[in-house]
Order: sequence, then C-alpha cells, then structure tokens
Amino acid sequence: MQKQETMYSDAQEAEPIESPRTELANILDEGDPDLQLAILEKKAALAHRYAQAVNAILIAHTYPEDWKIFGEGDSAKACLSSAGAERVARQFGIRIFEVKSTKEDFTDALGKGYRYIFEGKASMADRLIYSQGTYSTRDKFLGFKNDEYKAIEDINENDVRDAAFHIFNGNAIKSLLGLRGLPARRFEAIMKAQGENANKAGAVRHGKGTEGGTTADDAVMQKELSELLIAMGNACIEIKVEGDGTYNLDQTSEIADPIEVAKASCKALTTFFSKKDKKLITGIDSVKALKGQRLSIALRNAKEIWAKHDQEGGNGNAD
Amino acid sequence: MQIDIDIQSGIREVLSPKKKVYPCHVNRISALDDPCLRRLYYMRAAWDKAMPIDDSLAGVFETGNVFEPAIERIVSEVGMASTPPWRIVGTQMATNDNLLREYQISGTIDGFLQVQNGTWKTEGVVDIKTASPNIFPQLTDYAALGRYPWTRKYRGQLMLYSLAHNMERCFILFVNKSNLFDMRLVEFGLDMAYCDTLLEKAKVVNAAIVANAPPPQINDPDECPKCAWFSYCRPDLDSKGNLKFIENEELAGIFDRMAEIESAADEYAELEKARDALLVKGQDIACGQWLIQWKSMTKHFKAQPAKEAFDREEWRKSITKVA
Repeated sequence: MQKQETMYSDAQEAEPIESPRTELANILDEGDPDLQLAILEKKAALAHRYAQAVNAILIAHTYPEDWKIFGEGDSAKACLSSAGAERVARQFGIRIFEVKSTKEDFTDALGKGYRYIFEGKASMADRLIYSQGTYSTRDKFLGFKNDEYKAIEDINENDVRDAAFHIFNGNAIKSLLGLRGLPARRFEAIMKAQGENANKAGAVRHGKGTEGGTTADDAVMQKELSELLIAMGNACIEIKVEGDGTYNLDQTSEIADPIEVAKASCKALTTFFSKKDKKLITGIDSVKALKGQRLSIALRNAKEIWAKHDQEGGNGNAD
Repeated sequence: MQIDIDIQSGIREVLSPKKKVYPCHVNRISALDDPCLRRLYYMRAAWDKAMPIDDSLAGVFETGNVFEPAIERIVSEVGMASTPPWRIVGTQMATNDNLLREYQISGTIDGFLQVQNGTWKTEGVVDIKTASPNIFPQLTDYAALGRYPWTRKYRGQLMLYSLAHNMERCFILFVNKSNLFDMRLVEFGLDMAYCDTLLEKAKVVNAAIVANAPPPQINDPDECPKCAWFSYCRPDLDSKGNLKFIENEELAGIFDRMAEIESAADEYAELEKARDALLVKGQDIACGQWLIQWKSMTKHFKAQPAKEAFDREEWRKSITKVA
C-alpha cells in the first residue's frame, strides 16, 4: 500500500522539449544540410537497436513493482518510479546539475502546509533538458495516515525534501531516456519480450463511465478524484471552464507540472455559473477542501469528462 | 483463519523514538574517516537536516544496544578464563586530550585492553564491535577493515583514541551477532601519517564552521545517493555509465554464433558429466565403437611462497540478448 502511494506521488510526468519539428529546425539552422541529414539517417538506423538495448536495461535494472499503470485501454500509461529510474540511470552517462530547491508555504482548508520544489538541468550526450520535482505535506505517502491528513508537525520535513528531490531526479532521467508516458501496451510488450510478467506492475485504474456515487465517504472520493486529475495531468490534459460554466479539455505544455495541472483542473471543475448572481463562482484548487455534495458532483463531472475524452479517442472536446 | 497482525507498524512505533537526532557541535571521532568533508560539516552545521535513518538500520543499531550488556558479561567471563587472562577496563570513557580538544574532536571509547602476565598491563585502547554473521568471518585483520565504508571508519576511530590516550596499539574485539561466543581480536598499530589526515579533515571542517561556508561537494555517484544530506546538498552528479553503440560485425557475429550453439554446449557439458560418472579411473574399456584407455601421470607442483592478502580489480561481464 505504501509502495503504491509512493508511485502515485512519483507519477509527475512531463514530456521532453524536443520534437521532430525542432530537430528539423536544427538541421536547417546548423551547418551542412546533407551532413545533418546523414546524421539523422544514421540515428534512425540505430534507433531500433537503441530502443532494444534500453528495454533490456529497463528489465534488468527495475522490478515489476517499480512500475505503475495509469488509466485503461489504449490511453493507459506505464510510469517508472524515481527509484527505478535512478537505478537505470547508472547504466548511462547522465549528468544532473544546477539543481535548485525552494520551499513554498501554503494554506488550504486543512491549515498550513508546504511543498518543496526542485528544479535543474540534466544532460545525456548532446541532449539537455530541464526537470522539476515537487512534493508537499499533502502528498499521501508522507502526509496521510489512518484516513486523515497529518498535522505538518508530525511530518519530517527532511522526508518531504528528499521525496521532491528523488522525483526531480526521476523526472530528469525518464525524460532523457524517453521513459515518460510509456504506453502500457508497449510496456507489456517489452516485459513479454524479456520473459517478464507485466501484470506484476501496480495499477491505478480509472474506469470508463463508472458511477459517480454520492456516498458519505469523502476520503474515498477525494482519493479517486485526486488520482483521476493527476492522471489527466500526466496525459497533459487540463480541464478549463468557459464563461457559461461549461467544461472543455485543453492540452497543456509538455513540461507542465502534472500536480499544478491537476490543481488547475480541480479549480475549473468546481467553478460554476450562479444563476442567482449571474456570474461564475470561482472553484477550489484543492481536492482535499472538497466535501459532501460538491465533492460528489466534481467527481461525477470529472469521470464524465474523462469518459467522453476516451470515447472520442483522446482528442475530443469534453463538453 | 489467519491472524491479521500488523507487526511492522509496531516495529516502526518502537524504533521511532530511537531515531531522534541531537545537535552536534564537535567532530565525532567515529566519523572522521569520511571521504566527504561536506558531510562532516553538515553533521555539525546541519545536523537537523539529515534524512532519518530507515527502520532497518535503526533496528541494527538498537540490536547492538540490546546486546551490549550481554556481550560485556560474556567478554568478562571469557577474558578471565583465557590464557593469559585479559580484561577491558575504563569503559565508555570520554576522550580528554588537549590535541583532540584543539581540533574539536570528541568521542568515547569502550576501554583499555589489559592482559595479565604476572601483573595487569595495559596494552592499548579497545572497542567492541558486533558484526553480522556474513561479515564477521571476513574481519580478520587490519587490511580487512578497508573492505566496507563503516569498517574503514573503525581504523580512524581507534587510532585517534590511541593518540588521545598516548597508546601505540589499537584493538577491536569483533563479536559475531549470531553467536556472542564467537569473537576475534584484531590488532593494529598507530599510524601517525594516517592520524594527520584525520586531524587535517577536522581542521578544514572547523574552519568551514567558523566561516559558515561548507567545504566542496565530492559529486560521487556511489557515495552521494547514500548520504543522509543528499537532497540538502544537491550535488551535481554524473552517473558515469558508459553504454556505447558500436559497429563491429565480427563481434556481433561471434555473439550470434555463440548463441546459436549455446544449447549444444550445455548438452555437451551435461553429457561429459554423465560420461565421467560412468567411467572408472584406471579401468580401460571398449564400449560400442569407442575405446577408453587411462594413463597414469604425476603432476609436479612447485612449492608456493606464502602470499600476502591482496586486492585485485576484476571485471565480470553480463551478456544479454536485446532483440
């Protein structure tokens, strides 16, 4: 259970900045186009072998428990824990540098809390990326016990700082090795090819169109909503609210922090149009601050939006 | 029906108060042989920023504490029954030496080893260390102390104890944790050059404390991730992996061919084993279309001069088919 919670907090993913478009721009901008194309062709020829070697290393240096499956069906993603990523990194020449950390205090419905944010650069060969990792006193593994959030005095600050740092390292390594948002089907194929059992990976599943429910168990609903919004954040999807109170899905930046995206989605999801006041009433950006019917409605809406997104092949407008 | 008891939560609860950390304003004698000066600095300047030790390590430390009185009793009995008799006196004495005070070094020792040859004579400082049954057999001499990061620190600890008490010999009494009657005394002399390096470390740390400026990071991918101040220190790290893609058809061909005949090689080895089990040494036989004849010979081995223990770096390869 604790392991699962760690993975849940670990799953802050962002795609690397590189894209085919930027590579093409580089070819046109830098030196002899023929030479650049020859390099690209060579890279393309080696890509398959490179992927095979990385796959073999992944299997040799990670445990099935290091992996977590988010979502279901074609949109399901396999996420590698930071600990697993750090083991894999030792096989490659990866540099992590210019690391900075900040501590941010905040106040929510539960009272005072804080989060650590680590950011820095990482490189492998000629590739350079920016990475970030955050962890807060509201994250479950350290901040939640016996169905309630701990007082911040009961949480060791060094643990929070260390968790954020490992998430930062894990994000950097996964970005460089192309392990972010690995499709679950691809992950299963890799495991199978190496004779391993992909089913040992833990799963956080969000069912299509499951019933929202209005039970009084707020903690269960908060957990479900929080996981769903983070999964959307990991998939670079943010819920937006229009002026008339309808919801849309928006594609976020590839390097956006999924936790921040999830918080923005929560705020949008709980924003509503007041017929009485004839204006939008701003929502709350913390799932933990949601209770009772408001929580129940938010969860139901989130599930409907997510189910519709799935039905439309992952590219539709949710409203 | 199986009883559902969460023992782990109980263990956590019991060990939790044992993990409490306290301010440290001196260089701990048992920590000075550390490759990272910044860590020594953090032990004093950022003692409250260290990651708490995990339950596993806390349990190991607590086990040592629980064993201590029992070991002291056994050591006392064994010492008096030995030939010649020996004993440990002056246990848990704080060091009180001007030199160490000057370098802000502090610690306690388990005591002095005294041996009775007519009268009781103090031979040197001694510390009792427990070791797991896997490690204990390897801790046979001074060189063996270099094998593990924590045993390396024992050397500096004992030598500085000796220096503090004007002794020239150091003793560590290793006790096997799985059998407290399995113990071994390892002796080594005072190495002043080595002590100087430890004193120099203390000097650098003291200066850093005064200047409120931490010493440089070591940026070691083996050492840093294990450090309690890893996330506080945030060192630049190079994973030092060296995976390289090479174009070598000959090498690839060798691997491919070896893979093709691998099953045959396994079968050959199995048959060889089965064949030898059926043969009788010295008995010539004819079997089917095969003739097996034995010849006796004497192989001469030259006398080998005794070799001292030495370390040799070796590489082991693992070969994995990636396709």
